[in-house]
Amino acid sequence: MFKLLSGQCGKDDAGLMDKVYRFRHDFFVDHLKWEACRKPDGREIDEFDTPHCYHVVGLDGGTVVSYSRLLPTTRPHLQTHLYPEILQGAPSPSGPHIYEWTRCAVAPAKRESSRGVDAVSGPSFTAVAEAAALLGLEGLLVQTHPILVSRLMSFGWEVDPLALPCSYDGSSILPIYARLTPDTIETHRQIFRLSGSVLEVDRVRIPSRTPIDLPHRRSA
Amino acid sequence: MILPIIADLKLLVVSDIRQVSFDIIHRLRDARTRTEVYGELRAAGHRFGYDAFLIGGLPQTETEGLLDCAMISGWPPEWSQRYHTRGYLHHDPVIRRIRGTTDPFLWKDAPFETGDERAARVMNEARDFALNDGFCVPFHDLDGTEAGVSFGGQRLSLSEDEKAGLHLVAIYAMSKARAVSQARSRGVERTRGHLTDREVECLKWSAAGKSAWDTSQILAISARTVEAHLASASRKLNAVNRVQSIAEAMRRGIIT
Repeated sequence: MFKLLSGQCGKDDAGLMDKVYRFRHDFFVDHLKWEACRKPDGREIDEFDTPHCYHVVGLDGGTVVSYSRLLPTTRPHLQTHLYPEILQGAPSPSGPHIYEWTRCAVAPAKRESSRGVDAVSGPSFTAVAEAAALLGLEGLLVQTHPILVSRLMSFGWEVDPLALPCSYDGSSILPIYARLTPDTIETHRQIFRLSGSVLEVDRVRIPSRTPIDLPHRRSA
Repeated sequence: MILPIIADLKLLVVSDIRQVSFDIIHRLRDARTRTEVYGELRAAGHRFGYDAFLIGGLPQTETEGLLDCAMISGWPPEWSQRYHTRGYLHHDPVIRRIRGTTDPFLWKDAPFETGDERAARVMNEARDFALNDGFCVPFHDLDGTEAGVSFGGQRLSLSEDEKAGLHLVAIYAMSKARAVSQARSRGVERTRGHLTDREVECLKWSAAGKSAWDTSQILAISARTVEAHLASASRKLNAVNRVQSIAEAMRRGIIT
């Protein structure tokens, strides 16, 4: 099950957000060794975790098994305020209908326990596409390994490169703008054999400041 | 005041390669057929300095050869044939390296043991076809399958920026190669209407005037099974009876 939470509602769901920050610390600091993000209380939170961001949380029972964060590009985000150098001077799109997809993670135990496609990764990618459509977005900025860019393309995102791939912190990274198309969600569902929506949307969790037509989608 | 000028020059070169790569990608995204993808990659070779290229998946079984795995081939045809017939796909150190890395690499950095004569032979024979140097971009899917785009030539020397540009070109070439291959197989499926070989066979005999009993004798199966095959074919072709089934199958070119 996947939940979409706004940063604003996080305050009302402190228990879940606490689990989310601990999951992020387990994954990014302990598993991926992002030492700069290490926190003494074991909760990975940064200055971008504001009331304006969205959290896409995958849950198995009460346990967090996947996560992605969407940051508004009308405010400071990673491409502009953390590592603008990866754009190598190229312009990057921004606006109220463009968010930045960051902190994408699937619990390593879930990924390693299966051969081939595991049960969480596919739906977690689908949940992000559904969240983007639900929020009325045109697309998402992403900076990730080129291998994952190829996958996003095969999942039905229309991908514009923003710069050439470059090396960042010892790993290859490619900044892109991934646009939702009318087929994006359906393509995810076909590839991962999903019969319907994976995102469980609770009206109360979406703050009123963002006008959203529920549950209208940009695609079937 | 020499340093700032050099810095500017470098920026100019980088943005030039970026623009060249983006232009190629733009055209690749517009490509609708294998031939168009092939043409774009041929043309891009003039800019990056490669003479040949190959887009393909990695073999999933021991019996698959190059011709089973190639999606779009710009290899010299004689080399493709030799490579396929001799099963080099299973000894090529470049192919092995794809399985172990997610980052692009030069062919010369694809390692093999000094005693591995079969691997050495693949690399040596490639030189006979003017494939001395190469650059390979690996792909790894979520389901664990691998693929690659390889560029080769008599003398391929790429700057770091050119490698980055060619990496990006490879990503879009692979994406488009997959899309046009899928469109092709979907087209074939639509025409064939998912009919099985047995169903097609029964339709052919039916069109030749044979009864279900005749057909059952020819195919050494029961008449009841022949009836079942014909009924199933009829359903798949949206036909109400056997005459319409045959007419529809002929119209679609399933039988002639």
